[in-house]
Amino acid sequence: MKKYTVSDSKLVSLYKEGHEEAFEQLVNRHRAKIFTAIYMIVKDECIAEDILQETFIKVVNTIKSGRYNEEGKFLPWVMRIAHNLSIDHFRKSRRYPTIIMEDGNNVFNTLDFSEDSAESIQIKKDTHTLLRQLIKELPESQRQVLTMRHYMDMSFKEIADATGVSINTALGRMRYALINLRKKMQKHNIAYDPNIYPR
Amino acid sequence: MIQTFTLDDVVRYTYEEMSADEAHRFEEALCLDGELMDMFQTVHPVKCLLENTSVEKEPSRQTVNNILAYSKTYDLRVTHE
Repeated sequence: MKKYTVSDSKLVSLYKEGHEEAFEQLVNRHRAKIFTAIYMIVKDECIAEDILQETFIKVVNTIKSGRYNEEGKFLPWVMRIAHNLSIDHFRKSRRYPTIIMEDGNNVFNTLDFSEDSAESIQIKKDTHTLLRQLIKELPESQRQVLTMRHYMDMSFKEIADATGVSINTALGRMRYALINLRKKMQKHNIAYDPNIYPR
Repeated sequence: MIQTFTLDDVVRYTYEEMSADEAHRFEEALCLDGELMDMFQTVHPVKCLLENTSVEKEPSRQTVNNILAYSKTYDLRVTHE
């Protein structure tokens, strides 16, 4: 996760004091992550834009009316709102959400790896495409935990609560998801190379 | 005494969901327990790869502007309501 010089909680405090630019920073800092997470569930760009707006309207209303809980972390809180609104969308349209990454759509076509060489960009693109395919092949329960952790930034406690299982079950599912993914990666000769994917 | 850790703890450590103290104790255990180390060496590269190949999608500028405008006019709206 990215580290910022001014923490989210400081920005929230500034925003509560009336500094709109602090809110703008929070939005700009997290908009892509939240939007991507919503899109992963609803798989429709226009609906995802609407839900993103609805999410931040709730954020503004809660913070400006003094109901924001200082003890919680900002991003997981917003992610929970976004997740709940995305699920509500499916309830309203009577469709059941499955958090999957489909091949063939254009979501991931606009990759931004401007600091990389052309060769490493291509390797990343290829690896990303293949990884998405391999994730699709995982059992639903494992894929769900992996997606929630990696794409929705949820902690294992939050995943356990959201999926109605114990934290140990969530951790176990994640472990098997990673083990299975590793086996599939080995079959396809995908290896983690710190030179291409620096930590 | 070295604390006993489970294979699921490897996942918690890998995803940085341990306190600094617990992570330190875990690292001690990792050096002594081959099974934990094997699991760490299995899951850690996959986690790194997933993190470093994930791509985020951007919402439209209009949507972001709408959000910012809503915030800026919140007080006005509340006063009128």
